[in-house]
Amino acid sequence: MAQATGSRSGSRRPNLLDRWLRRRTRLDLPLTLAYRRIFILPTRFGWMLGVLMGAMLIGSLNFNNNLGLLTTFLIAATAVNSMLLAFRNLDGLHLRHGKARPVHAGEPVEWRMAAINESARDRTGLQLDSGEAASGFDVPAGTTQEVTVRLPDRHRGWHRPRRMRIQTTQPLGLFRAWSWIEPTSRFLVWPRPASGAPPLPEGGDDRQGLRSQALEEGEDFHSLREWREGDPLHRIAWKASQRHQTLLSRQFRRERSREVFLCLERAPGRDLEERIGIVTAWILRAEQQKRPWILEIGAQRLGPDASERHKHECLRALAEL
Amino acid sequence: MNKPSTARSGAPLAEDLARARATVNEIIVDKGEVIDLAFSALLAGGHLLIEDLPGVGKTTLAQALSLAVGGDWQRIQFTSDMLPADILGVSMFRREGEQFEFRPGPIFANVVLADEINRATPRTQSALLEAMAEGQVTVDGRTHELPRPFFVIATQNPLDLTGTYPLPDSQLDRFLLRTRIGYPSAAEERRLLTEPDRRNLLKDMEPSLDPNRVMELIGLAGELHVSEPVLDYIQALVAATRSHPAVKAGLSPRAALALIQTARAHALVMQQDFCLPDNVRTVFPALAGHRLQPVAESGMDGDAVAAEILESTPVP
Amino acid sequence: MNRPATHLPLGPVAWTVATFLVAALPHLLAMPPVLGVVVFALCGWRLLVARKRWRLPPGWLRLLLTIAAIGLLAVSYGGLWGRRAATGMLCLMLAAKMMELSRLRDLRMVASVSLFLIASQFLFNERLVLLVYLFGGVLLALAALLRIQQLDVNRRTAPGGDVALLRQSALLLVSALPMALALWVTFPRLAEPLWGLPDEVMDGKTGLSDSMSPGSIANLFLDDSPAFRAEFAGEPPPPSQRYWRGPVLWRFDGDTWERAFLPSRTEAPRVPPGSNDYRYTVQLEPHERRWLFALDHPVRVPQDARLSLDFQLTRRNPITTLTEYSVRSNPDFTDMPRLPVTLRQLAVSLPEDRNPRTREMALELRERFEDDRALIDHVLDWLRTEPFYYSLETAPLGRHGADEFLFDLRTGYCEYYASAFAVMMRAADIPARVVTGYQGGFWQEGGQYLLVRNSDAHAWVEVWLEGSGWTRVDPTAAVSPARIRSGAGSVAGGGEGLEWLRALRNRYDRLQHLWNSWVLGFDADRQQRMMNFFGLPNLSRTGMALLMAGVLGLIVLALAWAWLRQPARSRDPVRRAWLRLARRMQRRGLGPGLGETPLAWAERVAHRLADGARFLELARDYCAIRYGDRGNEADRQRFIRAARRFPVRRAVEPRRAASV
Repeated sequence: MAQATGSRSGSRRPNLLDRWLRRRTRLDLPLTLAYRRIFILPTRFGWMLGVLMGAMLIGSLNFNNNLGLLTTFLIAATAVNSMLLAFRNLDGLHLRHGKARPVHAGEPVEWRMAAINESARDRTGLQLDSGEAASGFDVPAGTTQEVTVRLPDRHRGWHRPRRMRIQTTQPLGLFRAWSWIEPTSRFLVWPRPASGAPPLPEGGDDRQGLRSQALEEGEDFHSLREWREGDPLHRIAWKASQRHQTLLSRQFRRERSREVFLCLERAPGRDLEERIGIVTAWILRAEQQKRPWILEIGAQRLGPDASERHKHECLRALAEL
Repeated sequence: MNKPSTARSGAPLAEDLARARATVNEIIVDKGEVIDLAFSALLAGGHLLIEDLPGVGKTTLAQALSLAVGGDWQRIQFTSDMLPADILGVSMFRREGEQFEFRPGPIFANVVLADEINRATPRTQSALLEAMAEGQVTVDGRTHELPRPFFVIATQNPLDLTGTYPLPDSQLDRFLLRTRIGYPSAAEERRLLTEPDRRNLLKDMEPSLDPNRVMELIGLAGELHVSEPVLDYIQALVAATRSHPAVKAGLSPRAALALIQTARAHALVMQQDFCLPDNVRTVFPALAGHRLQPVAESGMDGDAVAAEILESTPVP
Repeated sequence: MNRPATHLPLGPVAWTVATFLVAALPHLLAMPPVLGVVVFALCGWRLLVARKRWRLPPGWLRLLLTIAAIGLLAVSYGGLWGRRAATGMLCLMLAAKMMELSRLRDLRMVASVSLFLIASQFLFNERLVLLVYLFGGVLLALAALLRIQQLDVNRRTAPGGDVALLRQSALLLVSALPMALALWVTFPRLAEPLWGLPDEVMDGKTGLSDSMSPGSIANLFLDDSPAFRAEFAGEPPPPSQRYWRGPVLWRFDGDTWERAFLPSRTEAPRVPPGSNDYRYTVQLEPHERRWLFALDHPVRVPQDARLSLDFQLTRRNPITTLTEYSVRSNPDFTDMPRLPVTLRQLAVSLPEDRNPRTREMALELRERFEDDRALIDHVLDWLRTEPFYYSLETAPLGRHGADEFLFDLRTGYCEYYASAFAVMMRAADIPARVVTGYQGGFWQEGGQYLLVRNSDAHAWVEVWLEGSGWTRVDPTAAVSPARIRSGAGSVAGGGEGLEWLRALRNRYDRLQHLWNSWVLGFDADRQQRMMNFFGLPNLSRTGMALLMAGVLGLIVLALAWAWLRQPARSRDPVRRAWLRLARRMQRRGLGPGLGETPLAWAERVAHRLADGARFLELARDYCAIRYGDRGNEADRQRFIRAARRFPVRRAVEPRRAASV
């Protein structure tokens, strides 16, 4: 990113600043940035220019150099203006809906938030800084902007983003105005799929692996269709045919799909993490092949199903372990 | 200065509507919002899809609604062996008249409850949807007008999906609104458990309206005043659906038109004589939720998108 | 930081380089040209690098080049002392920085030090035209900083282009003006400087030096800049009496005239006030020397100055800013009726082995004239009648300077005449000394002041005569009376066609005079007087600081109001009234949510307001007017009034109020 940001203690211990901030304001989204939430301090460059201005002031005063003084004061007044403008850039900005869609461990989390600029002025050069990464954005007047910050990869499970700040050093880079946000909404990180996972368990005993259900035609009634030459007589739906004044024959579903039975306890792998990784890889593979699967974790049993929703449920269950 | 809550002309009509609303509310307690949405769908000339579990009162709602409106009502329990003709009706050859005679299906009613619509095959579903869209039924080349008003309440069970045909996304917008009923509140559930069944009230229910007056109300809703700021608001909402990053395609102009119409109907239901942003806000999730198809990776559904948009669009 | 230097795009680099060049330009003009060439070359090269995406040179080469440049500077200035050398050094360092301009903060550093360069230029020169330099330089610097900031937020190109950038920077500058001016007026000034500059640091840009050898002030004649201005209480002296006394030179080594220790360190006798006294105030442009200029003979010495035995007015510190002082001069005073022996010896001594022909002529004249006055008259007559010419274009003199000038060259200007004349006097045993200073000046009718330019520099002779003491004799006047009557301009050439230019210049100088009086001369004293003018009593330093804080506070409030004011979001006055009310509620933590409708908001907060029911009523009225198009003009006005008057008070709540 373009600029280094202030270091932050990595510990989660609530320090003085944290406690003070929490007492001062609510930090959870949705937020509207306002006077009490916005902090302003000079940037490093701001301090440098301040020192330079101090030197100019003393020199000009000493020699009663009026043009030198005027130059100094012009810069000082510009600095004051730039402070106000930095504040204005944040003041009244609405922040909403902080969330991240689930990813696998090892992939960066894309945490996103909506920034809404209700005012009639553009807001440019804003930055969302999570402490680990930062991303810049602009919000033109009267629009809503999606802001995404990439958080580094995390371990599987539920996480909350750390305290972030939304900041700006507009227009001259002299002052940094910022506001803290600490979203309480959690996001999920799925387990990382094992890279060298064995193929989907086929065959073998019927607990782990394939549940072959080569269904006979005719177990599951499926639907009716017009009778065609060649349909066996016992398939004719007499009652329905009478209702509709035409011969209808019953269609039967043929169970072709073969369910895969995935059991966490019996998956190969030295420890739990490794087994979770392998099962995760299996789930992804099964979903890709559109084969229904059952996941068994201890006493919990999910499926059979091959839908995306099922996949999410399974991955979530694995992540929460 | 007039208050927004006082009614305009057609006061007796509005009173009848209020009475009908009150009657339904008496039977299905604590679900005022859903009832208002159902009335709005009716008065906007659209249809309603209720996605919820069995047993939360979908059928009762439809029945109460139809009774209050005073028309005839039909219930169609969809199953997988149903054919289009089971719904629309069939042409039968009458020996006496030596000609074909049309025997209307259950769809020929003012209020039709299409229960568990996802159990029927797509062919059957689309027969219903076509009839809903066109307001008429064509069998064997002959067109039969459906009665007016014609209002379909379809239900779909979102959980038990095995062996069913959930309505495809592209067909969902045949329904003006989609909503959920939800579980009753704890206090209400307690009353349900202890008090006599309220469904018994259905038997003694007096219709407050009749089909003609419903048609009048539909006309009234169409004329309700919508001011510039409210139009601005509607446009802003529609624009927001189009720029939302989680959505494949935003609302169409037709959907925008439907939004205005529904907001008007809702205003009428709420006994207002002009449309407020509040009306738009109330109907927006039900109207947009099933029309917005989020991209799979976003991890959001249409309702969540609609809620986000409402929360972040300023009211002009 | 070890990360590879990213390539800086041309835009910000060009703005920064332009800022630096503009800020450094006056410095460069005062520097030896070779240094200017070095600076320009480095800047041009850096622009090429940005454009062609070359690599920056390796560290050792940069170091080598920097050292070479500083060496060049040291050689040109004979050391690194002096303010010119210091600012020259700063320019060179910044130019050298161009070679390693690879990060954002380097750009910011160059831009902000350029501001420092601008301010430091005023140590040398504070003339009115430099206001253009000040504002232009700051404008460019702000534009550069804005452009750099855009790079900082990862925008490679400026939105709206460079014109938008300049407009933005002009807006910043204009909005900074009120505060800058207020600060400038009210900032407490120092009555006395905290420290003075040591003499070595002074490197004398203009004006007279404390020594004279024929040919040394020739370049001064070409300098049309003002040396000082004098306002007279009463009539100014006639042109022939406008001799502004500067350094008085006693010692002559054959080439150069210099000051003598004894007369310059001894206090002058008190001059009694006379009846024809001139009272005047001088505004002296900074010339970085200690002396002040006055007419003969100062009665009252300005504060902080002393008067030496040879009536030379000097100040303790070099004059580095525009300085104003008042003098009263008595022209009828007799200087030194009796000449002490030591001084007489000093005033007649000549190097033995120089100018034999002059000596010979002097001795011959001494034989012929017993009386000193007659001798002097004869010499002046001789100068008048022989073919002597007044010209700035002349040849340098050799070992026997007076001889060469008086008998061979016969063409020169005041220094030549004064030096040769003094040598002849001394050879004739008449005590003589050379006085340098200014003669004449332009009377500004419009401004009622006398403008003396550096080109009015002059040198004349004083001889000691029995009975009348030290008496001024101006040999130049004998040769070229016009020089004395109408000023240096009349003889120094310059075509007739430039008359209008001269008039224009004189008019401009009147402006400059006002500038000097009101802006540059603004000091602790004037500040106090201005406060008195506005009816404020004399304030102490603390009082002044408090006043400044007050004024500043007001201005910051006004600025905050101007910047943070929301532009009207609606043309509907009813809506505006509602939004104003919403802002008032917001201040109490009861503002509306972003997507909240008026009614929903009112219902949410009503129970937390003391007048909740009234607020609900107000919200309903608002909805009826805004969304129902209900209500006539009277209703609308009634609503606006009601919204304005609505008291936002929280209901007394037992539980802690949560902020939204």
